[in-house]
Amino acid sequence: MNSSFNNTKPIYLQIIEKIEIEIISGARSPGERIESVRELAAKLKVNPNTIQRALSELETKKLVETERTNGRFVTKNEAKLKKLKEKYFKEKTKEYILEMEKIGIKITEIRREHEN
Amino acid sequence: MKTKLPLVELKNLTKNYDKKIALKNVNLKLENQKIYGLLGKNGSGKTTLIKLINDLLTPSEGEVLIKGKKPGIESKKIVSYLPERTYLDKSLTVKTAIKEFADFYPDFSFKKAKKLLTQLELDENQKILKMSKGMQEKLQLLLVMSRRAELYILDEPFSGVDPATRDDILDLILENFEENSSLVISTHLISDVERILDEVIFIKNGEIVEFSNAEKLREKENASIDEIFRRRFKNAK
Amino acid sequence: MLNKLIKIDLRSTLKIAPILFGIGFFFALVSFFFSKFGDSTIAEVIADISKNFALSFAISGFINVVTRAIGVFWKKLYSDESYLTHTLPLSKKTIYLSKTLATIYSSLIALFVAFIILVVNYNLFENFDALKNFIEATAGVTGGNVVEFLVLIILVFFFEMTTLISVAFCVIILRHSTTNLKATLLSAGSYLAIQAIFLLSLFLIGLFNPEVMELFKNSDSVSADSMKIIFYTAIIVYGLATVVMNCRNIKLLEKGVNVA
Repeated sequence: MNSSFNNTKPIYLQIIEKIEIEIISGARSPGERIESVRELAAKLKVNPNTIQRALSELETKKLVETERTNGRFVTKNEAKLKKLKEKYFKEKTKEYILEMEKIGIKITEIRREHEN
Repeated sequence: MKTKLPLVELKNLTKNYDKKIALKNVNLKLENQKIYGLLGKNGSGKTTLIKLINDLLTPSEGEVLIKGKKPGIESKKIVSYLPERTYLDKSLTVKTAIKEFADFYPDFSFKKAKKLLTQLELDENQKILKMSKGMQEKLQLLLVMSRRAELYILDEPFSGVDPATRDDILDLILENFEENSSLVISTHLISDVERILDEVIFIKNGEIVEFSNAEKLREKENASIDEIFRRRFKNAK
Repeated sequence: MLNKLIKIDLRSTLKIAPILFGIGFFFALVSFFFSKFGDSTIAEVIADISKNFALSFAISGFINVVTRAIGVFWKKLYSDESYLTHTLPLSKKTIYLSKTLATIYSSLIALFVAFIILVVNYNLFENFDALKNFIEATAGVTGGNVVEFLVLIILVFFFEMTTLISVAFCVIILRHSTTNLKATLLSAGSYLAIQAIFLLSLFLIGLFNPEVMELFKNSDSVSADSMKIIFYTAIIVYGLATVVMNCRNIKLLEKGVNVA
C-alpha cells in the first residue's frame, strides 16, 4: 500500500504528527510554504477533507499560519518551534523508557547503551 | 434561512424483487464535497441502491431524490456512474467510444480524457473487443472521471484489478474528481479504500446499519474501518 | 440529441446486412452478365443459379436488418448496454423514438438496396416491359392509375410494417414488466384488435356504401372503388395503430425500467 498511514488511528492525527516531525527535523523550514489541500491530498493519498482538518488543527496550535491570498506557511515563531521540539522529545523519550521498563531494562542500562 | 437541499436523499426506500427484499426502508442523505464509502458484502443491497439512484430500477416504496427531483434527465446530467459491468459497444475503438460518450455530456472534458488515456495506458486506436476485461474497465473509468460531474458513483471500481493497480486507480480517482463534487465508492475491498473516505455507510441485508464519519468511527472503536466492518459482519450477509 | 442517437442506432442495425447485400449484388452481377452475354448451356445454368442466390441474399439482407433492429432494441434497453442507454441524459421518449426511426430508416434502406439487386439480377433495364405490363395489369384493381396504385400499395405496406415493429417492441417491453405469457398475450391481442378495428371500419363504411358491403358477402367481384376504399382504410387504421402503439410503448417505458 502506498500510504504510510495506519488505518487504525484517525488519519488526520497521523498527518498532524507527520507535518510536526517535518517541521522539527527541518524538512520544512520556518516560514516555508505548505502545499495546498489538494496537493497534499494527492501526495499523501488521502481525502482532502482529512488534510483540511489536520491543517486547521495545526493552525489552532499556531504551528501553521494562513495568509489569506498566499496560502499556508510554517510559523516563524522560534519560541513555538523550540517548544514543539521539546515536547516531542519529552514524549518520545518517556514512551521509550516505559517500553524498556516493560521488559525490565532500567534507565542506568539505557544510559550505558547510549554512551556506547 | 433556507436549508440546503441534500445532493441525494433516499426516503423510506424499499425495493422488492419477486420474493426477495433487496432494500428495506432506507433513509439516507448525501451532501456535497464528501467522499462516501458504501460498504457491505456482496448481495447486501449496495448495487440495488446505486441502480435506484441512477434510474435503472424503480422503487417499490419510498422515493429517490437528487437535488430534490426524481431521477431523470436533470439528475443524469450531474451524476457520473461507473457500473460493475461493461456497458460499451464492443465493436467501437477507444477513440470512437470516447467521442460518442462525450457527445451526450456537456460536462465532458477532453483535456481530462487525454490525460487519463496516458495515465491508464490505453491506446486510443484499439478495438474494445480486443481489450482485456481489466482494460475495458479502465476505459469506463476514464469516461466516468472525464466528466465534471457533481456526483460520481463508482460501483466496485477495483474488482478484477490487481492490488498494485488498485492503488493507482484510487490515486487517479482522488486526483480527478471535481473539487466541489461528491463521490460514492461501493466496494467490499475496504482496506484499500478507507484512507480516502469521509463518511462510511455500512449496509447489511438491505438495511443501513451504520452511517458515520470515518475518523470519528476510528477514534471511537480504536480500529481501522476494515477491522470494524469485519467485527460487525462476521457470519452475516 | 435524437439525431446523434439515431446515427448510432442505425450503425448497429446495418452492421451485417452490407455483407449479405454485397454477396447478393455479386451474384446479381454474375447472373446479369451470363444472361446477357452467355451463349452456352453452362452459361444459362450459371445464370439461373446466380439468379436464385442473388434473390436469397437480397431477401436475407432485408430480414437481417429487420430482426437485427428488433434485437438492437432489446440489447440497448435491457442488456448490459442498457446501463449506458438509461443513464444518458435523454428522455425515454428520445431513446424509444431513436430506435423506432432507426428501424424504419434501415428497413427502407434495405428494401431499396434489395430492389436494386433485383433490378440488376433480372435485368429489368431491358426486361422493363414485362414488369411494366405486370404492374399495369395489377393496377387495374384500383381503377388503372398506376401511380395511385403504387402509392397506395407502398403506404399500406409501410404502415403495416411500422405497426408490426411497434408490436414487436411492445412484446420486448412487456416481457420485462410482466410474465412472458402475459406479454405475448397482450401484444398479440393488440395486433388482433387492430385487425378487428380494420374489419369493423370496413363494415361501418359498408353500411353507407353498398359496394363495400359486397366484400362481406362472399362475392367474387370487387369494384375498383371498393378496393381503393380498402386501401385507404388500411392506411388510416394502420397509421393510427402505429401512433397509438408507439405512444403506449413510450408511456410504458416512462413508468420506469427495471434492468437486471
